[in-house]
Amino acid sequence: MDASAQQLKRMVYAALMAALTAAGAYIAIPVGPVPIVLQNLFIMLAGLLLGGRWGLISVAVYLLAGAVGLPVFAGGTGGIGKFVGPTGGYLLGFAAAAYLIGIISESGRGRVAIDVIAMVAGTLIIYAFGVSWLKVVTGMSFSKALTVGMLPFLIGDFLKIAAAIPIARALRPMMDGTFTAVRAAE
Amino acid sequence: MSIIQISHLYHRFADGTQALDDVTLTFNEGEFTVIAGANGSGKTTLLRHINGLLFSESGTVAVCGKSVKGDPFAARQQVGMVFQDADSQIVGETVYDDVAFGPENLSLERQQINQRVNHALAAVDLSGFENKMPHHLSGGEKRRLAIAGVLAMAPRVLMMDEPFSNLDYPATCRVLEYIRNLHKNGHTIIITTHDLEKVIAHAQRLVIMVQGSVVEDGIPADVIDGIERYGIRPPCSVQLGQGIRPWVN
Amino acid sequence: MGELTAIGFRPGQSLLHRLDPRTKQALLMGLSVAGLWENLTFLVLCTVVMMLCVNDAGLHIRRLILEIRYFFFFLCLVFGVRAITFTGGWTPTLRADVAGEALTVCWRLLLVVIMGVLLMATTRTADIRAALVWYLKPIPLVDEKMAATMLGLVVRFLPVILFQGAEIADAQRARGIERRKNPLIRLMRFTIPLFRRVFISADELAAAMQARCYNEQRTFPELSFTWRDGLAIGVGILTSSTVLLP
Repeated sequence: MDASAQQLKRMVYAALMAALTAAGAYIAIPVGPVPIVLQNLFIMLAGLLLGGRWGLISVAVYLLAGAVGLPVFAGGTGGIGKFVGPTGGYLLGFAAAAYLIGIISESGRGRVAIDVIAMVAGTLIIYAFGVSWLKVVTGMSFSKALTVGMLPFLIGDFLKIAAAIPIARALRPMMDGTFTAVRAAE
Repeated sequence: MSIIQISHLYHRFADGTQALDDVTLTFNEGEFTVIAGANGSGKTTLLRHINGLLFSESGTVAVCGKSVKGDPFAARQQVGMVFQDADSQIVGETVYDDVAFGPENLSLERQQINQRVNHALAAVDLSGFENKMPHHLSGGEKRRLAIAGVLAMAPRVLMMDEPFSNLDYPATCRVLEYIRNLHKNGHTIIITTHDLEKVIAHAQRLVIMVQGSVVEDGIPADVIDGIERYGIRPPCSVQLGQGIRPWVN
Repeated sequence: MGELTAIGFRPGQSLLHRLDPRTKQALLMGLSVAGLWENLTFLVLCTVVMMLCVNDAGLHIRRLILEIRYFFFFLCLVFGVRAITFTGGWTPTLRADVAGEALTVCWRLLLVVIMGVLLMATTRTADIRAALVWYLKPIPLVDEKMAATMLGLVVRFLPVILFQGAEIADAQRARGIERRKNPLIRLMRFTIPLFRRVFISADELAAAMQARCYNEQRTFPELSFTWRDGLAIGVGILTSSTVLLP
């Protein structure tokens, strides 16, 4: 395949990953009483599957779609105002997380331990952006911002990291060679 | 006059399957050809070679006398391809955007693009649908939109991969009618299918493929007898001993 | 699910329809930011202007309210969180001044949403993209044409993906997935087939785009800035400047 065809293929994958992320804001899997929203799982997968550069591009396109007014953010909202709203920090954190997860997992070439480290780091960076912005906008104390903006979600995040590992393993063979050199078998 | 020449074309997939095995075919301008074969016989792979989406390891494909490998861009302009799954080839967020996608890629002037879009939509009776979202169209309308998107590129050859799959009866009739009209207007038509029933009465030539090779090539009436041995179901009228009859009157 | 925008583009000849999409986006951003001051004069004036625009664009107020009804739940929530305070124990209290403040916030958010609906209803998505290309051009490291194409694909495929997701969920419910209580299994069983399906169509889509001669040098919709746009920007600045009034 020539270079432009390869580039086109990466672009299409990243665009569809952005559309999946947008869909993830709408889709929740009901498990027991609490629905699990898939959005940040999809952000992690963008990094794991597309790598740093294209993971970042994919999330950036998703944010751009929200910025021009498409209802792609959680709860079916959109618009530039979301970025300056209380949850705006999480949105920027998504982009940073996809990039960070991508570059760390690329260096690990599919090793599970490295992928887990990548996702823990990614999750932390989402909260670093999200909670500090929440604190600034609402004027809450730091501990209160943590209580509202991070603690309730940690169990879900743990679950999603655990689920992302087998999901990435199942899907990576489909994209081998598109974003990275073919990964060594485990 | 011949418009597509394929000679000694081989293609092997990464998993080792021989998808095309020494295929030599020539298509003439204005000809209506049906390429039939069971699933996995290499029909789609062959179309992708003509369209410059795949390139040969050995053998040559030429469109209008020019090698596809040397200038895939020119080949794609001359040869329009309608894929089997209409949903994953519609690119635009509205009907207008989708039909305009091809001409926009050719860097045409906006006025010319609008002209082509109107013309292509009229050819498949989708005028007035410009601002609709493709997601809201019916299966038949999506297939027609896919054809319009290709027509807007003003190709001389139209290739369609299983154009009747997943269509209900009225939609099939309409698509069939458009294909016949396009042929009447001088387009070269190449259709692949595993189901001859609907289209064979209108074709001038029938090519049978088995495991990547061309095993039969001729006018349909000559080729159709004993076609079961290649894993293709003969049309009902042939099974009833009445020869090839049109599927719709 | 499956609907992307409550009110999609409707063709027309109103003032908003004729404005350059760049103007409309700039106004949307400018007025949203001006709203942050939460100045009453501005909010009243802006609401009047928006109502005139809604009327002019041929949208019916009732229909508009119907389409954004889910947003009202969100507004009620915001109002509740803002206005109800727990003073001295567990009795919720509603104080007039705090409630007034909360009401202003809701008003502002509602205005932003209505402006967004107006933009989407009077502008073709292709034009929104073209305007975006224009705004992204000066930003370094951003390939604005690629961004526009990718954005178009997101708009095209989001409803398709939502539909496929719903289909997968239904098919699994039909086979009793609800009896599996392990959330890990549930996440995997849903996500893997969805991604597989989307990625297979990605391969097809890339081939189809290639077959239609996709390349970086494409024709983009023409945008033209006319006297109407100048006028609209002027009105926008005047409206925004009322935030400086007491």
